[in-house]
Amino acid sequence: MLLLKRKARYLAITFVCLILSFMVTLQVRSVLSANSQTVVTADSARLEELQKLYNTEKERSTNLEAEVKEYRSQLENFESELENAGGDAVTFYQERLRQAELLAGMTDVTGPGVVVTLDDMQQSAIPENDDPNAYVVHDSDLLMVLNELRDAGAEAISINGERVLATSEVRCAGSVVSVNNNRISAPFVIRAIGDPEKLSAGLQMRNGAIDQLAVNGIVTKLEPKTEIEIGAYTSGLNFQYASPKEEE
Amino acid sequence: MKLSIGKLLPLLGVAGGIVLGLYIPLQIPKEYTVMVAIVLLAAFDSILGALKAYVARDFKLSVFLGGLVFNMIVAAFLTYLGNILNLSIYLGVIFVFVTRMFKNLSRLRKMLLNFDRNSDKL
Repeated sequence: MLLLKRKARYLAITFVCLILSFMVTLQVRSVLSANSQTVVTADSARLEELQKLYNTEKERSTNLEAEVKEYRSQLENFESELENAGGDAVTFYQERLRQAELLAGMTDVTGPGVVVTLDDMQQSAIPENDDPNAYVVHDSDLLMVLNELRDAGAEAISINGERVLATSEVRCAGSVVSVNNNRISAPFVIRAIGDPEKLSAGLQMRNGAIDQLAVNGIVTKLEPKTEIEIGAYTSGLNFQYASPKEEE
Repeated sequence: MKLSIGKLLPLLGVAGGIVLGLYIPLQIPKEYTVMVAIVLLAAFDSILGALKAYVARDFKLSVFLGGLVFNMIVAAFLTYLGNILNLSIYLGVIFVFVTRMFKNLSRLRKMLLNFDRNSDKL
């Protein structure tokens, strides 16, 4: 009887030990696997980030490759141009200089084109009690014509003998207009070298420059010419801020 | 101490529990791991108390089992209550149990060291 009771005691303790060690093991296993799971998610987030970085870098690399290809073809062009120029570097650069001067307006040029004359309306033709200011050529009128001519493909333009450059201003200066810092006044004679037909057509578009000028009360005359001459820009070049960027 | 099958049985129980825990494909959900840890802490406290009582020669199986189950239930309940109230009551439970564990441990140590005082002169 006593032995049986003892056996029961040991069995109870054994049972407790079994249950508790089972719980401990399960707990440890659960906690460990939970930890490893969080590690996995952190890893996957990092993976995504890396994938994104990789994609951007790859895109950049593709762009750079395209750039290299472009530069290479440019270089080839230069080389073939040099060959065409007789293989002589001096002639090549002289030709380049000539082209640059032509573009910049540093040389006298001649060719077919149009001559546009803008003039104020005569005093006697202005209706009474009307603002005379409305019948005077303004800088905006000139700019409109200039823009239209450039759009039509004018290669060289002058206003009253002032060569219009990329840097030239056309600005109201009191009763006169300032171009290249020189004051000019009506009548304004605009010469433009280009395809005469295209230039005329551009100016004569319906509701185009000439129509607008007519509404503004300005007398306009348009003459296509087979041969006009436009003088070079005569003042000096004075660049204070812009300088050529060094090639790397 | 005389080794008997009866005294080996609890060790077998521990081993069996570990094996069961390793091979039964169960997982405690993440949000319950804290509660289970508290319950286990309560169990350890009871076991330590029982060990002390055993050494002090007033171990009673009914007291041990009753205390064990009751402590585990109360600890689980308090943790559950803390979850509901959004209050970390289980920290208090941990404090109580750990304090008692240290107390029991120190008593156990003293009792064990005083067992044969003659051989223990420092």
